[in-house]
Amino acid sequence: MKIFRTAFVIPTAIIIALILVFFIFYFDVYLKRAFIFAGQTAFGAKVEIAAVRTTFTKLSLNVNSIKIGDKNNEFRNLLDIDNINFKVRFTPLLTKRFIIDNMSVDGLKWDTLRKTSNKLPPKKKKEKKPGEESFLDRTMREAQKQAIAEFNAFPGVQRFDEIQRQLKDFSPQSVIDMAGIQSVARIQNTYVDIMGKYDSYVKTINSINVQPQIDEIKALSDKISKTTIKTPADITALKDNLQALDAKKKELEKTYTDLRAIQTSLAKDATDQKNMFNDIPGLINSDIDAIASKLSIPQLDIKNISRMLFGSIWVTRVDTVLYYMELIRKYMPEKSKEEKVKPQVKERMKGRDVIFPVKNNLPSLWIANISINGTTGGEGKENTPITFKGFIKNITSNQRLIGQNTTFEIAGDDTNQKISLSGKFNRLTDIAEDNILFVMEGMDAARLGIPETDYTPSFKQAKANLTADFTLKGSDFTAKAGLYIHGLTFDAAREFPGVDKNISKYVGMLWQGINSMKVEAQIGILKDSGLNFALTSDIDKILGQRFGNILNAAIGDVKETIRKEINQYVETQKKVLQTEADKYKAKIQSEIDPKLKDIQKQIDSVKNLITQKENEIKKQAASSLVPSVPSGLLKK
Amino acid sequence: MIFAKIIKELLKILQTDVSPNQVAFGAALGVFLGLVPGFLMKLIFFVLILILRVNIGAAFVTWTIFGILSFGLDPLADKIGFFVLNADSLVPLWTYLFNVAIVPFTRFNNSVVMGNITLAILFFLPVFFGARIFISYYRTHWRDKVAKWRITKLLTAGILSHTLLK
Repeated sequence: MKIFRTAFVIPTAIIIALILVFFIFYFDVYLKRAFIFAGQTAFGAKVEIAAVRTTFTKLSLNVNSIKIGDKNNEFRNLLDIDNINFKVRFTPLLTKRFIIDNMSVDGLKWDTLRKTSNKLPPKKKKEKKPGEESFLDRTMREAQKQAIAEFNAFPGVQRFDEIQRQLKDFSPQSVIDMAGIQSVARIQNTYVDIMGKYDSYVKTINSINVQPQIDEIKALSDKISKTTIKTPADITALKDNLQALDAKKKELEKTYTDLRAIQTSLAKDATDQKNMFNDIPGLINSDIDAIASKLSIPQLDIKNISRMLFGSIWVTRVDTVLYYMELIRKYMPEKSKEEKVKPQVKERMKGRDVIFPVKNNLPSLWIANISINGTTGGEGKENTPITFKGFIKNITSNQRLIGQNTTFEIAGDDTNQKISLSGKFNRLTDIAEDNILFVMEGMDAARLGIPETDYTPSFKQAKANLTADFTLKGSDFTAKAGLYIHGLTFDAAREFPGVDKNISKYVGMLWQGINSMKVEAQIGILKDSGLNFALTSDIDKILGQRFGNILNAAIGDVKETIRKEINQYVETQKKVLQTEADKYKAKIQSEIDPKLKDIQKQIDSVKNLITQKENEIKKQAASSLVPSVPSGLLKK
Repeated sequence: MIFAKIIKELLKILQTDVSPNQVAFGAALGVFLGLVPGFLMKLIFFVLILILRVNIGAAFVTWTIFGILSFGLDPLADKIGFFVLNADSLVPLWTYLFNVAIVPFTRFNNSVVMGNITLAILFFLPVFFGARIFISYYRTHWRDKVAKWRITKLLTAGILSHTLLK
């Protein structure tokens, strides 16, 4: 009995022919559909492929015009690739291993404009339970919340409005209580003292009754003048009268001295009065400071300026990078050493696949080298495009089997701009470590998407140098970036609609001469210490200083107003009081002067009379040898 | 309609003089087609049925029957397959096969596939011998009686059956 059926040949030939027909005419169509389906599942947006061409004799695949939609932007492509071409190694394919030695990706572009929407029909979304949310998901959500909160909390340079309102509405009269001003009080007190003194002088003058004294002296002088010495008794009488006259003269001299003392005091007071106001300017300054301190000028938290400008952008960029890093983790999971020798268990809907160790050191997927070229330009992009090229090495399902990390390096350079993207995805160590380094020099700062405000410089003409380093080690994510922007412009002369001119002036003062800034940003999402967010900029320090200067200038304006007001008031007070005092002084002076004149006259007259009479007595004594003239009197 | 087809096929096998061994072998191989999932595995057994001088009709009958049964047997097959794939003594064999060209495409490392292969192997001999005994017994005792049944005449009559099964 024959075991084999000879009639099988024809059906087999037919089946093979059918299979060949399928692969020749239909396989590419189904493969294209499969790629589109897989792409749409992975990226959550429409994927378009113009053509897929397989060559079975060479085991090569050529994919033309791939456009992957950006799920966050309906009319933009996340990636736009002109052509992908690669060959698969035949022998490993028989053992279900997909090994590609060289792949080329030509005409790589991103963020290009689409003419049609990239939205997919709505799909029932599986909601994540709270427990299912990963540490990175949770902390990134927190970071975004924090960035939004900080953005919203930013007081804005609009605070100038508040400052301006305070300064504009400031009225010295409403704030200054002139009675409470030290300088004015000092002037008033000084004049009170002076007037008190003058009062005491007047009292003293009034208490001195000069006329009776003069009258008495005059009467006695007359009497003495009329006295003639005929007898010794006349001499004795004359002598007595002269003695009495001398006593009166002494009294008058004392009165004269008292009046002269008042006069001297008046002169001295006038001199003192000038010096008394030496400390008034100091007191005025104290008064100005005291009044200015009553103005509550708001403080601007300058550090928020850099946060406002760059905080949100930074978190968004980190979020994007983290999304792709997580995607890489998903398709390139961590593998421990044990996995190499132990069978792995993978749960499936229809049974479970037990993966056995691979002996010939080839992973199930290995793309040894991908050469890439492309441009940063593309449809709908206004920036100056840079062409770049680079490579990705060792995309694999198991790095341990090939003993190499997945690395990539893409660089582009034209005369003005330089771009470089490099990275390493390490699965050789027990803890997976992914690193991406992005360097960009001379890029248009406008592309950073920094919010433009009326109060900040324009980034439209500015250029930026950016270095960003992202690391995901285990579940710990750290990112740091350094940004240098130069060529900032601020039109200080422009006017803000509906804003006071002074605000424009202050904002102009704030940004004048600042044409560059440095920003350093860091984010750490660590399992042990949680979220760390830091953003620093030299601009914060500069603006902080300038804002202080502006405040000082603004307060200086107010102080000047206060100073004028106080000076004017002080001068008026001084003038009024001075006039009063001068009048009083003149009155005193006018009272003293005639009295002094009369007294002086009387004293002189008495002196002459006494001298004359003494001479007479001397003569008489000499002629009659009368020795009994008082020696003291003769001397005089 | 599928039942009519099965019955027609069955009657055709039973009423003719096809070798009981060919029928039994075909039926036994049909078990694999019915139980083992996966395109490549089915293709292998299908080609085997075409190459070997076995009764294709018998294979189709058991393919259908065990194909229906497989839905209920999958959970059991999953357990058996998982046990077999993880049996220490067999792991080297599976590892070897996993590294052999094309074999991994059979998805033999899947618990349901392996479980169904195991079940199919377990059913192979009982089905083979059972079918052979049944055919011998049938042809001796029932063939003539059944041939006289109206339904048999209807189903085996070319025109009617053709119309009925269309």
